[in-house]
Amino acid sequence: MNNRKTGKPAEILLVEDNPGDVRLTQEAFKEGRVLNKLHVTRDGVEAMEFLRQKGNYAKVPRPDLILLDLNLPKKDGREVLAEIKTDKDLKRIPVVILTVSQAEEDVLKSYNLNANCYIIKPIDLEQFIRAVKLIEDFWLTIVTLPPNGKK
Amino acid sequence: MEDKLKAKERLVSESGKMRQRVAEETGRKRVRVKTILKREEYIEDILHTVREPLLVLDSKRRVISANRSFYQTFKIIPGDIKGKVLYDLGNRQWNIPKLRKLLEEILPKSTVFLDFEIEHDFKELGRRVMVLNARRIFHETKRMQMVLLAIEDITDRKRAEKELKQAEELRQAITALELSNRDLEQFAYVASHDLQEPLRMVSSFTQLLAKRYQGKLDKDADEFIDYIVAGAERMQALINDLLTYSRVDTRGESFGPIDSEAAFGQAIANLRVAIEEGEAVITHDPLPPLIADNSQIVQLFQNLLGNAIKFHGKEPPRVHVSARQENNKWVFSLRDNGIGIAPEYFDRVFVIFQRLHGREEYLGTGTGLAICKRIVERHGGRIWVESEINKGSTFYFALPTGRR
Repeated sequence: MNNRKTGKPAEILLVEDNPGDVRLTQEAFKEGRVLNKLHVTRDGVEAMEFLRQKGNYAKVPRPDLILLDLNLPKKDGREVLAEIKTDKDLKRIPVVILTVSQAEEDVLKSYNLNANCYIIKPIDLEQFIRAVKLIEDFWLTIVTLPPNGKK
Repeated sequence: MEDKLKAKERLVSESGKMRQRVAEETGRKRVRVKTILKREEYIEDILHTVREPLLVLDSKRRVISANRSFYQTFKIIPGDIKGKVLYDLGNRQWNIPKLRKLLEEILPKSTVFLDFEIEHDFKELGRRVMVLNARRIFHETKRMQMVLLAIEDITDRKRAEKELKQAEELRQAITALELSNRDLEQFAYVASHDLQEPLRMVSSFTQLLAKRYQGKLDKDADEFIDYIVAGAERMQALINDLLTYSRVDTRGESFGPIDSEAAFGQAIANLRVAIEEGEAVITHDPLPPLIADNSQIVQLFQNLLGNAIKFHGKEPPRVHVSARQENNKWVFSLRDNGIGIAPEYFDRVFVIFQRLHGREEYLGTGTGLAICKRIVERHGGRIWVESEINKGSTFYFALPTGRR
């Protein structure tokens, strides 16, 4: 069942290489209503290790929600998205693309790769915080997510 | 006696040899004369066979003979020229200084000149480019100096070469343009990603700073923060507009039949807030169908109407839009009662980032009309403005009707 009702924090994985954006997202989540734990990986390779609980990430929980930037070092967001959505254990985790790219081809490609939604990072701070709060609200309280850990 | 006899025999023999030699010599001479005659015929034959215009002149530059090609190429009536000085031909059209110099100065010294190029304006033929070759020859039978002059008309070849060169230059220009378009597209991509990222950081953290520390620092700090935020916002607007501008060509949709009145209606709908706030009155005549990129025509109307509302005069803005057909073009006009534009700026207003007003007076990045121009040009049309200061402006754009 939904984690929030059991009082356990929601596990969120943020894949973002820009420390400034990481910090802004953290600030936004601080203002949120939902008890959450934000994990951060700084590139695509690290993100896949986290999700597959490899290496340093052997003991991390499986996230309830993934916030994924598209332009990442080593392995970019599109590849990460493709890998998640073709992995039978990971494909049910909602992936929110959170990027500065307004390019139509990025929007199209992301949805073709089964991204759950695509959000262009608002420039304005207030709007950015609002967007993050809405993401949190929608994906962690309104929608019913698949039971964690079940196949 | 015997001696006398021998001497007589020798004499007979000698005279016989002598006769034979004379006969032989005479024969040889006869052959030589024949050869000379033949050679003359031979030259005449060559003269008339060669496709290149040829002239034979005497030492006073009078025409002895000319071939058919000469008559044809230079439109000269045959038979009319023998004995005339070359320079006098065709009402002295052949009195060409450079030709005179060649024949009178260079040829006497060197017996031959090769591949001299001259250009000349002929009355009927127009400007021709010719290549001249000449040789001084000695006519054995007539015992006289002659000049064989070959005149090749290379005007067409020159023109073809020029056209070929122009075609090649055009091809290179197109390649360069394609490359620069690709660069621009690449730039657009960089602008949309890499430039916006740091900009977002500046504006976001400044705003965060303002949010947390507004009033806790001093008044100056608050003012500085405002300037940073405003600067970042403006940079953002510039980047976005530049992106739109650069994508008019590369990201445009394909052309199809559209209703320009519907596109106009869409532009009005998009401008609803500005129209209401500015109490603008926008009227229009029936507008024609077009073969165009619908979203770009909406953008075109929107930018032009937006400007008409923005640059209003003392009265609330009034805009009238109409279209008239002119040959195979629809000429649209948007007439407003705004502040107008001075004539010296009629062209400049369409240049990207050109602004005629300070930022305190009117907001904007100076890309609106540049985008309009690019859209109209993509559609094979033209945009221009007529205006009078304090009376209003009329923006015109002409687009192909799409019918042949």
